[in-house]
Amino acid sequence: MTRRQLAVLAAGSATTGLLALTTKASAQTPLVAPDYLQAARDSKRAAAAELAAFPLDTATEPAFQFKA
Amino acid sequence: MTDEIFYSPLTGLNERLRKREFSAVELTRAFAERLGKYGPRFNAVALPLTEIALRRAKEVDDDLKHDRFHGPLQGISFGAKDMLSFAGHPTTWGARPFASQVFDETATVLQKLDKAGSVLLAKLSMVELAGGGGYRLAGASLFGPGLNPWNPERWSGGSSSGPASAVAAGLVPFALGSETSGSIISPSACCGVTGLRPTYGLVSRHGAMPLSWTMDKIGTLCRNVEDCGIVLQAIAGSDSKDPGSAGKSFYYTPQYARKLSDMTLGFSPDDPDWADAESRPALEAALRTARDLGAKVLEVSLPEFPWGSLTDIIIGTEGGAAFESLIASGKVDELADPSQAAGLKANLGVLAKDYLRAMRIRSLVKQKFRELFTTVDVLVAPSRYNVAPKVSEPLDGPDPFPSGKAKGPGMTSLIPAGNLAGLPALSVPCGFGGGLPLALQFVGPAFSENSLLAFGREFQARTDWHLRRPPLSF
Repeated sequence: MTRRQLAVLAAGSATTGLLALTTKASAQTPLVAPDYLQAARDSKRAAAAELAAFPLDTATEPAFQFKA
Repeated sequence: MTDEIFYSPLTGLNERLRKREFSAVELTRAFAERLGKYGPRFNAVALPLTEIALRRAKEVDDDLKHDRFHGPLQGISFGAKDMLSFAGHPTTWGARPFASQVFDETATVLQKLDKAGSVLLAKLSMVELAGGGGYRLAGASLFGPGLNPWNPERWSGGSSSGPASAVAAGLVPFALGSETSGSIISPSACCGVTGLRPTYGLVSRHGAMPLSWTMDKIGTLCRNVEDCGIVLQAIAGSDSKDPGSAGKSFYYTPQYARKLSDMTLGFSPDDPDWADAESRPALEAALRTARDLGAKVLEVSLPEFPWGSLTDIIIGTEGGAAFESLIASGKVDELADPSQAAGLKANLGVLAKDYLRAMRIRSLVKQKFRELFTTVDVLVAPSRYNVAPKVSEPLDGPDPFPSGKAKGPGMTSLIPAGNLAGLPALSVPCGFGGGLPLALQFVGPAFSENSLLAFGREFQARTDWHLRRPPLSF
């Protein structure tokens, strides 16, 4: 993890979604940037791919059950 | 009344109310005037409730006059993050699309504090939608950027921005905030206040803005550890209106707390290497103090998981569902930070299989933490590894310290990891870097709040960082 990622993780709540975005913004000025949505989608895809690569076997399944 | 009351601990204020040194009305009016004077300087206030507060304080005075005592919070005013509903008044969630939103029911935690005799003085500002879409600007709020009382060119942290700056500046005796992943611990650290994130399910979220049903928690921001324990006792407890409620109460019992000498504190020697140059000396000294509190100490490592991706998928998916109608209406584009809108829209595209996989991995996270807590009782680490960022710079800007020499990750992922596992955390001020506050966090197993408070209490008995006050002279 880079310090940049660390700073984003520490910002509070869900600030992890835009790590792929590298455009530097001037603060407090809403940016009309069409690539925001694409960057956000790319970030979600990257996160899902990282989770897909994480080893997971069925032995964990009993821990994720619906309880009546 | 002198300025000293604005930084008095809760028990001190309550004792003086009981002795009739001043009335609840006088105390409420004093805080209201201070909040009115300084609150706007930090963009801390969402909605002043002065008239209602004064009426409530008058009722409290009547109770005190007739010796009807309701505990240590009676007559004490407080602020609440604007994600908590207060019947008949706007609850904006910090976001323009909800600027005129009004609920007809009051959040359970506010009802509990009312019953304890506390006086709600104001709703306090927050990052829009608690940052649920992923924000990159300090100004991602209906109320503007949260400004830090120690230096208004710096951010107050988020998403509980107003609660942190208001407590730090002595504008309210305590405040309620919320955390999904970092929103109490981070602003508490930035502003130099003591913050407590309770175990998931210990405090009802009924009446609170839902962002992530499996990760949202309501907690406290206070002057010191003792105050956090007192407020948590008042707001914790079972609530049938919150399906996530653990059905447990909390009793702040310092007299029965385990001795520190009977406990083991886990730490990582890699942590100081993650701090920037101006923060490192203070954090190293604070970690030494923590290791000398009297507990046994043990070097440990956090389990390795893809923390960022787990929180991104889980909070993102649940947040996308929670705000589906906002996104569908198009009003999501009214948010102050366009990356929030983009993030929320992208959240709706996450596949169910990916969310379920994240939740399955989360089961392993809980298991690994259970194993870790068989070797240590509490973990200690920096709450943040640097001071509050500049308001003028994006939060996800370029890495300012690219030449790190850390051998391992240390506890750098303790905020997302602890939140994913539902663990409690206590952040205590621990020094300064470049004139801005730094903090340590203590994290323990679920429902170990009294152990965390014991460590925090001892830390604050040996240091005075929590007693420092911002100058407010700019």
